[in-house]
Amino acid sequence: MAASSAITTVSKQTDDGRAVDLERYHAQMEAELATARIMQLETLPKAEQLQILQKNFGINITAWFEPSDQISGDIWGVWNLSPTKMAVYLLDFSTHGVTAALNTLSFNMMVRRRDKLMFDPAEYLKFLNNQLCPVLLPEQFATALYGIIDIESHTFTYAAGASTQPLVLSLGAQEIIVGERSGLPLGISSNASYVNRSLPFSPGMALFLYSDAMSEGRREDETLIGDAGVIGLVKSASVNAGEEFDASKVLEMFFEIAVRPLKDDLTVVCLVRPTDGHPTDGAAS
Amino acid sequence: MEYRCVANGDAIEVFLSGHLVMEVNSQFRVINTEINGQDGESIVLDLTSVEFIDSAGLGLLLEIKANADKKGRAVSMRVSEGGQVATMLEVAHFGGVIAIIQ
Repeated sequence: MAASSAITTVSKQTDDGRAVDLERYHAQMEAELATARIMQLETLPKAEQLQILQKNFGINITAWFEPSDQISGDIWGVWNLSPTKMAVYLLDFSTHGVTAALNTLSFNMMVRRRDKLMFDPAEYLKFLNNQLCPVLLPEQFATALYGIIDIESHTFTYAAGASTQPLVLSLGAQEIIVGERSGLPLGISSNASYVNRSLPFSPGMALFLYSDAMSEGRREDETLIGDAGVIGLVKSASVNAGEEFDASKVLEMFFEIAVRPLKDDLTVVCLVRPTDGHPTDGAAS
Repeated sequence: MEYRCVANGDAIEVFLSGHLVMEVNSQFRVINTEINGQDGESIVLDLTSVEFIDSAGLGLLLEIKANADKKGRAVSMRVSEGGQVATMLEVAHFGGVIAIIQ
């Protein structure tokens, strides 16, 4: 009996010790994830940067970035290429969580190295693909869209690698142009090449970019929202909001129908050219 | 998602059905283990009964391909025309990565 009791006690102590170790491990993981989240948020455009771009280009930029867990596999960015050209991208890594987040940080370093290829979306996407191929594991990839807004030629020229469809809409109207999006995702093959496509982007128009968490979101009845559903939301928001259209107008409607929490990381980027060519006040978020 | 692996001559045919999404990640590890335990020169992924695939699902197909590449096995896939799966594979140019057969 005494031996049995001793064994029980030792076993209990071991369990307690494991519990403490696990607690400590979880606490450390939580702290590290929180740090990773801060690092990731640092890679995103700041409100001040967006305000400068708004002032220089007369384009209101609003965005939403919502990880499905603590950290996201999405990343987006925007910057000026010249006094009349602005670059924008949205990337969505195929995995979630820590791995995807590390990939976004790694990608951020790549994209920060400004390159003259940035003036040619297809070539730049090819360049980024070649940078990512040796970094990603064989089963990992990123869907991507990179494009240039030209306020002189009133165009959005872009290249895509299986991103969601870029949507260009006329503010206050049902009219919407759905951009082509096919292309090999980044990181799968170094032989991949991409094509430049162009959409009109004049004053009175908005460009709406989103990650597939929107189109792959589900309603309460389990039905898929789908690309058609997103287009419907964008049209409705455009008609309702007119010149005040921004990311929040679409997201309000999306969150009314989508089941939360989302299963995927959500990013939305909305660029609006007001009809008068000047940005509206307080558009950045 | 449901699956079954069937030996068919020199090929291992993997019949998949349901939704190929992130949540079936662990099942794909089992499939890879099962494939590794079978003899066969090539692998055919039959996706004709798959109802939905997302980008995570495409990653799972790549995982099978990477596993097969290590063993020098060719991988192909069978897909129904039209529908969400065919559209997704077309948008992502996946036919150039894993050959699509009839």
